[in-house]
Amino acid sequence: MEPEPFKIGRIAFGVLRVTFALASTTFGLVFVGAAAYALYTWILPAWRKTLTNPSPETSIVVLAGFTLFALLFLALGVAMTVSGVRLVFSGKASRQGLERPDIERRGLGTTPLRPPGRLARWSRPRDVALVVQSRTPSGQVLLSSKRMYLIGAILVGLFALFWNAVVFLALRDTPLRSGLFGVIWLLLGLPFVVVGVGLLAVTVYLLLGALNPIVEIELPRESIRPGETLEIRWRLRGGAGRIATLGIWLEGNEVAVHAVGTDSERESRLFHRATLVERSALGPRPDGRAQLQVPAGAMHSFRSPHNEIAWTIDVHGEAPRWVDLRAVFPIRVEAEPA
Amino acid sequence: MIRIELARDAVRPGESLQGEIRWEADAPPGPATLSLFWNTEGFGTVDVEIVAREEISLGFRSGGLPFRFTLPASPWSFSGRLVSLLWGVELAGPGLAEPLRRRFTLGPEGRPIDLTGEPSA
Repeated sequence: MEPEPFKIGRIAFGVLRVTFALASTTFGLVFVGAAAYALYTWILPAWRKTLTNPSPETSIVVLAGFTLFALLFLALGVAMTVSGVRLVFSGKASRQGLERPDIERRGLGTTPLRPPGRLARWSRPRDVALVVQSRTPSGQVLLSSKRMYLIGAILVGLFALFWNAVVFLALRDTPLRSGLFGVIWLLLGLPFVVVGVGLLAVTVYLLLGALNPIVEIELPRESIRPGETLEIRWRLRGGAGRIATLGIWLEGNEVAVHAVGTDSERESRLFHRATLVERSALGPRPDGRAQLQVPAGAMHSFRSPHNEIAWTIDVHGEAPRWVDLRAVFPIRVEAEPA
Repeated sequence: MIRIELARDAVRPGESLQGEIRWEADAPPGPATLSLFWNTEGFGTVDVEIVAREEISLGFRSGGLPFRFTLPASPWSFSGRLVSLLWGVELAGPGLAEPLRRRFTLGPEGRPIDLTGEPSA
């Protein structure tokens, strides 16, 4: 069963994916249409006239420049359209891959190395938190979450404004159009309106998340060995009153990035989960201690360009009628048994 | 016929991997490269790292050539549902029809770490 915050994150990501795909396809088609129209109505007749009846008024260089410009726009439009369509289908391929019971196995290959795509990094809610590591005066390692929601809210909000402005301009004269054309125009515009509303909803969601508290975790040192137990301290700072229940877990995930051409698909799977803290009825400044233990015989942290064994401390605070608190702190498990 | 023989199929981090290349062919296989490597397998794009490499010469029609590599402390062999990591020794050269590989396990307990089980709550 997928946790609720992950579901919300996936829905938000799905809305973003559809938005980007529709935007890319729409702008691509507009570019293709404009370039094709310019080539057909102006540039081709101009070439025909120049070649059949040369005149000193028409410069071949200028005409060639306009032709190249139109072709450039045409190519750009085709690329954007293809990119948008591929984005939609890459989402479907991903879901099919998840549903496949047997995982594809490949031998040693020469696939070019490539980091995960920018969009793929937004596909997991865990990626919205940024962690800052510092030292306390007593020498403890302090991991502190930063509020990344605000940056996300600004970026998504600006895009939502732009998107809705374009949709508004396209649809504002619909009542003036009569008959079947008006109805078709409105139906065509409806999905864009839905996406625009979805973008505004995501903006509000991210703005609410920006008001959540900061999570701090203190560790005796930067890494832990399999079979070892460390005592950690945790605390919430600012706006903790909204958090009804708090859970902290140690998680181990295997992460794989499948890169094909310019696309990449990221998948992760939980292989270890241990509860460190489960608390409700938190006070105004909640804090506490917990035992962090990596089991003996566990795999150490590992990272290669496309594959990873990631150990994290995951924090989830439930906030009724608000955006839940989430923070993920990566920790390093050494390749050295305790 | 060429084969790679290992003294042990499971080695602990930091230990030595000892083995021997044995061959019997119609013509001497000639120069070849013996590589110690690990690679990933599974859903993700394959990552490979050559940890050590040794140029050797198989200058006779038959024979045996011992080799020895000192293994690093990590990464350990593991097997997951999305990712697995495997260690191996590979022999490749222009006189060989195709590269020859022999797998072994690197880990503190002498077996790949199993990540395929369901996480406990």
